[in-house]
Formats: sequence, structure tokens, C-alpha cells
Amino acid sequence: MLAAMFFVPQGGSILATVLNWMIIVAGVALLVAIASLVLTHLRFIANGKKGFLLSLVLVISFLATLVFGLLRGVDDPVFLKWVGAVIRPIETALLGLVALVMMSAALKIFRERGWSALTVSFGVSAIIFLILGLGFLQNLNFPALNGVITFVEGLPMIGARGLLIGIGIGLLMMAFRVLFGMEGSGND
Amino acid sequence: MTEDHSELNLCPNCGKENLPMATRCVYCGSEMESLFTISGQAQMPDEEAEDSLPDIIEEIRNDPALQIPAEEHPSPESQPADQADEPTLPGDQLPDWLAKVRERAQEEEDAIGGLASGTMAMDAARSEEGSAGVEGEFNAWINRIREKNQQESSVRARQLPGESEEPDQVPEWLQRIRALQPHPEEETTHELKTRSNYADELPREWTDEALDELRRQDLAEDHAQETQPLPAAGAFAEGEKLPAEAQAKEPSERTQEEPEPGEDEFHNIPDDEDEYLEEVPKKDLTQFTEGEEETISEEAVAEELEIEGPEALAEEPELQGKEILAEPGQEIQQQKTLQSEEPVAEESALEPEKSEKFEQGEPESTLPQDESELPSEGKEAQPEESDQPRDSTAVPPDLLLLRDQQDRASLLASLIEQEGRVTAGKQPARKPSGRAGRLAVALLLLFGLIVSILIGPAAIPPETPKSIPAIALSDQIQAMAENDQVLIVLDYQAATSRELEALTAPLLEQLHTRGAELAILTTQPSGLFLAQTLLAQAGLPEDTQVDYLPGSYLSLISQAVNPAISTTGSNPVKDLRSFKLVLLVSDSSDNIRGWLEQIAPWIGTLNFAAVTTQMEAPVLSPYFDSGQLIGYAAGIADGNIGVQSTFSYRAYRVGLLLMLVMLLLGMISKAEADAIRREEERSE
Repeated sequence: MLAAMFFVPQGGSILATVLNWMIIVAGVALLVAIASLVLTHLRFIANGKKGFLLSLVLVISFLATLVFGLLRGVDDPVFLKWVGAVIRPIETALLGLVALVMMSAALKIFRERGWSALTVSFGVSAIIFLILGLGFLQNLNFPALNGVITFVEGLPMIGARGLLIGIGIGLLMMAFRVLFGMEGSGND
Repeated sequence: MTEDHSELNLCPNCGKENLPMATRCVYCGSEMESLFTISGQAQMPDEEAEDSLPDIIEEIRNDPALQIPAEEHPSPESQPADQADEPTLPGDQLPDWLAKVRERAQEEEDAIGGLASGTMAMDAARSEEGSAGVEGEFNAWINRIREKNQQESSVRARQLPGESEEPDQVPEWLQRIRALQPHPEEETTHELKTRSNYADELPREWTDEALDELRRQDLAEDHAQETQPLPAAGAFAEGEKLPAEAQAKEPSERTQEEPEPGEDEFHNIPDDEDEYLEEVPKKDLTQFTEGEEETISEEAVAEELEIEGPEALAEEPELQGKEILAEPGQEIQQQKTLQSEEPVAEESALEPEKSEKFEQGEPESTLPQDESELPSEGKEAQPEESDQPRDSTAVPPDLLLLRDQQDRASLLASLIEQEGRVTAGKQPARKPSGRAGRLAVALLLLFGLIVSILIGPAAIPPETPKSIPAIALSDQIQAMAENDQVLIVLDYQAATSRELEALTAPLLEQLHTRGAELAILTTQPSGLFLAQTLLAQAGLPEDTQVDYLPGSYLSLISQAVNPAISTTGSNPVKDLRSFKLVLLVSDSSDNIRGWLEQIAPWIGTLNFAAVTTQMEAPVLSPYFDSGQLIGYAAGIADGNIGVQSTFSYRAYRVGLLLMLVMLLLGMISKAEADAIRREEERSE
């Protein structure tokens, strides 16, 4: 893959074949994951394990969606509307809990971790960017202040660039470790 | 006589054996030449002997009696006495030489001859040696028996302290002493009985103890207290604690016993023990008391057994249990008695009674569980200690108890008191679960949201400055001409749909207004029903085609690598190179990176723009800075790039403000806790 990615025109055919393999494997893996999920919850229901009612809800929902999708198709507007009406509020509520957890963490981080370079830098940067996010300083229209704000808002790009470089190097090293057998599987 | 002795010569003087060639005895130095002389021959001068010798020989030859074979006649050396005592021949038939011998034997004292006298001396010496050896062996045997008895008694004396250390096994001698030791109720009669026995029967052997008793008796008689009973030898240990015990005696006992005035002048402790008491350190006082009991015990027991006999043995089982309980108290009393020689103020160092007991190393098991079970001596010791002066300045430093030691002793005493009681276990310190804090935060958030909803949605003010990527994106959209193909890729989840749709809808509306041909593609199944809401918000027709591409962007990569694949089959996207702009609507920076890093290199002329969440925006900034992205809009802050009415900018700002307040509250509370802790540490 690496060679094909580097030698783009010449390794195009090989890369396309490997990508097709990856798509097939990913699709089959998705089916296996779905089957495993359903069988696990069916086992919970059969054994009467604690919380099996939730498993029962999951299995019933899965079967209803499967049957409804097979009968009416995935492009049916009614089907899409019903599915959307269920999934959207659930996932939105879950994301709202993230805001709650983050506020609680903001309240407890200094009490739990104490005063350290990491917590202090995090607190200071969070306060600065929260203030900038409110937009009050930008509305003042001070040229000097606008220059400072522009500089400060450009700082995340520096960090993100370093983060991306680190991610690239880390992925490359991990690939070499796996290729040369230096990295075991996750089950070891 | 053995052969060895026959080879050796015996000294005629001392009878010791000497070598044959020795002329003098190696033991006594006497000459041994007489052995070489002929027995019966007179010691004459050499000339006279030489003259008489042929005559004697001639007579021997002519003597008919001597014609008898030599075997039948004993030799004159072997049986000289027999020949002298039992003459076998009549007197007229005696030879002349024999008659001379007999005459000479009657005239001289040493008629038996030197050889015979030496033999007799040797026999006498040997008989003396034999009698002396038998007597010596007998004496040695007696001595060995005596030594063995002494060793056994000393070994038993050494083993007794170790046995007494075991609280459950009281040694036999101690039990006898305790049995003989008078009980408080029987003390007077016992002492009187002992005294009367002494008066009636004097001991046959005056031992040291008996002499001590007599000396104490004399001292008591000299003193004004003439009625002081002579304590028994077995009660000697008890007699030692008389000074301290006198104050603790009950009045009834005082009436029975004689009073003890002048305690500071009189004591019945022997002088040798006084020296011993002065030299013994405080820690060894208990051992000293035990050892004293041991040294006195054996002989005292014998005396008491002689005095009381079977009566004491009969009382032994009854007294044994009481005395075992009374043992700690008695030991304390004995120790006090030993310390009574020191100034009274020194006893104030032992003020805390419990700590005193533990300082002395009293075993816990020997302590009575109930104070009421203590004998009268143990009970009465407490008021005595409380009456002692508590002037610690007069106490030697080695007897002072530190506060830490007293605290530890008190703690140990309290633990002992609480032993066996049902006490509540230590409750584990409950760590705050934080539910109250989270509830407060949730209520605060709800309050802000409700207030913002009640006030109503407020759009972002138009004068709010826009971000550079958002401005670039807006400019790119404005540059679109009619019939330009634009690919809209929907790659987000329902959770972030509200934020992304609020940003994307105005852009789609502008594109649609400009006459661009929109192709909507989703790589996730959820994108199908999410696209409906987006199209509704953008005002697009409901029949707008939304295609689903399985395999995520890997399929697009495959199409980009091999364009022939996209032209076959039912692929909704025939050719990526036909699009002028690809607008990525995604809540994942990884998916956007995949597009930019995996697909864009294969299609050089394709422009990419992105709409993402504010959380993912910093990661996309490098791609915008490098030109891989022509622009992007992120979050509610870039919501002013279009006209949208469903977005509540006020709620967003309230949320940010609450987050800021929470962060500051956390910092302030931490600073306050640190200040309180420092203040407490400073106060401590």
C-alpha cells in the first residue's frame, strides 16, 4: 500500500485491487459484528440475565428495522422519517451530556489534580478561548486588540499541525512494527 | 608376688619397687645393698667373714640332715619364720650353725634379717595402701553423691524462675509458699502458731535463716514493739512489705495485729538484703522479689512443713486460687516495700496506677478482671498511692514517666477495658460521590437554556467579525457559476446534525440560487434520513437525489485511483473529476483528512471545502493554511455566513459563559481549600 501510494501512476491497479479487498472485508466484518451483537443479546434473553429487557428491545428494534427496510427499501421517506425521529433526539441528548460532563470536569479538575503545569495551562487557555468565543472582545474593534486576537486564534493551528505530524509518524512506526512482527496483536 | 615384682627389687625401708641394678631406692634414697647379702650371715668384717666361711661350708657338707634332697627342704629365704617357730629337729641334733643362728636371734633385735624385715615392711605398706584406697574410694563416692545433689538443687533453682514466668503454671515451691503464707483472716493465728513452735522446738541445726529469725526477734524485743510476732520463714517475703502495708491494713486487722510505730526506724529486712536492695535497679525489682522468694522458698518450705506439717498441705488447695489472684498485687506491694527504702517522694513517680503496672511489665493475664476481686492488699494500695505527694521535682529522672509513655499506657488500659465489648467498627470515610455537584451544574445549565429559550432565538449580529476560513468559503461559493457541478458529501451523525445543518443549509441555499448542479452523496446509512432535514432547511426540492455509497470513502479512493470503476455498475458518482467543488459536511476531522490525503492526490483539479463542528475546526486549520482546503466553516461562530433563523446565538453564549464560570469556580474553590489547609497547618 505504501509503495502504491508513493508510486501513484504505476501502482494504481494494485492499489485498486487492495482497496476492493478492504471494502469486502469491511462489509463482511460489519455483518459479522451485527450477527454477533444480535446473538449476544439473544443469549442474554434466553439466560434471563439482568437487563435482558433492554436486549429484548434491541432485538425487536433490529428485526423491525430489518423487515421494514427489506420490504420498503432504504430510500422510503416514511422509513427514513421514523428512523430519524428516533435516532436524532437520542444522539442529541447524549451530546448534551457531554456539555454537562465538561462543566463538571471544569469544576473539579483543579480540586482533583491540584495545581500543576498541565492544569494551569489548560485552565488559562480554556478561559482565554471561552472569552474569545463570547465575541465581546472582537466587538470592541481595537486594532491592537484585534491583532492579538488574531495571533491567539492562530495558535491552535500550530498545535494541530504538530498533532497531525505526530499522528503521521506514529502511524508509520506502528505500521513498521506490525510489518516486522515487533507488535503483537491486541489479544496477546 | 608377681613376676614383675620378682624381677624388681623392693626397698627394705619403704617397700617400693626398684630396678634390680639399683643400689639405692629411688623413692626413699635408702641403700639396697643389703639385698645382696646372705640372710642369716652376720655382718662381720671382711677378714672375719672370709675366715669363717669355709668352716660353715664344711659343716654344711658334713651335716647328714642336709643330705636330704633339696626339693623337700624349704629354702631359708622362703620360710625363715617357719623354721624358727617349728623346729623339726631336736636340740641335740641341731647343727652348730643353726644353734648359732638361734643364739644370735635371741641376742639381736633384728633377728629375722634384713630381707625378711624388708618384705614385712612392704607387706605392711601395701596393706596400708589398700585400706587407704578403700577409704578414699568411699570418700570420693560420698563426695560425688553430695556434689550431684548440690548440682540438682542448683539446676532446679535455676529452672524455677522460668517456670514462674508462665502465668498458668505456678511452680510447686511457690504454691507451697503461698499456701503457707497467711491469709489476711488467718495471719495472726498462723504467726502465733509459728512462734509457739519455735519456742517449743528449737531447730536441731542452726541455719542462716534461723539465725536471721533470732536476730530479727532480738531487734523486735529491743524495740518498743514487744508484741511483734516473729514471722515465719515462709512469710519472710510478706514481712518485707510491712512498712508500706501497715498503712493499708484494715482497722480490724490492726486490732488483731500489733501497731507499727516508728516505721522509719524499724525494719525487719536483713542488712545483707539492704545492700542488695540498694544495688538493684528499678526494672529488676520484680525479678528481685521473685528471686528472693526462690532463695527463701526451699528452706522455708522445709521449715514450714516441719512446723505445720499436714495442716498446711490441707490448706493448700483452698489458698492456692486466692493467692494466684493476689499475686500481682503482692508483687506490687513487694516492690513498694523495696522502694520504701528510698525517699517517699520517689513513689510519686508511679502515680498513674495503670501505667505503673504496665511499666513493671505485669502480664495482662495475671491482672484480675474485676477490681473487687483483688485482695485487700491490692485494693488498699490505691489510696496509698493517691496519698503520696506528687512532687515530680523530687523524683529521679529515671523514674519519671513521659507524657507519651503515660498516653500509651492509658491507651493500652483503655484497650484492655474495651476488650470483649461489642464496638462499632470504624466507618469508612465516605468519598463524596459528586452527585450534588453534577445536579447543581445540570440545574444551572437548564436554567440558562430555559431563560435563553424564553427570551427567544437571536441571530448572530451581522457586525460580528467572521473567521478567515469562513470568509474564504463564502467567497468560493460566491464564485460558483451556473451549471457548475458541486458534490455535497454528508458524513455526520445525528448528534451533530443540528450544528452542521445550521451551517450547511445557508450554503446549499446559495448554491441552489446560483444555479449550481448539486449531487448529494452520503457514505453513512444515517445520512439518508439526515439529508431530508437538511434539504428541507435549505429549501431544496424533496425529490433531490441522495445517493448512498457503501464502503465509505474507500470506494471513492478506489474510484479516484481507477476512474474506469466509477463508470461501470450502479455507481452514483460517475466521475469525480467532473466536479468543480466538493463540499464535505462532516463531524469528523479524520474523514476530512481521508479525503484530503487519500483522494485529493489522485485528482489534482478538485477543490475541497468543509463544514465541520467547532470542536474539529483546529485540526482543519493546517489544511486550510496549506491550501488543501479552500475554506471551511466551523461551529456556530461561523453561522453568520448565511441567513439562518433557527440558530440561537444567545443560548450558545450563555453556555460559554456558564462554562467559564464553572472553570473559575473550580479554581477559586481549590485556592480556598489550599488556603484553609495552609492555615490549619500553620495553626498546628
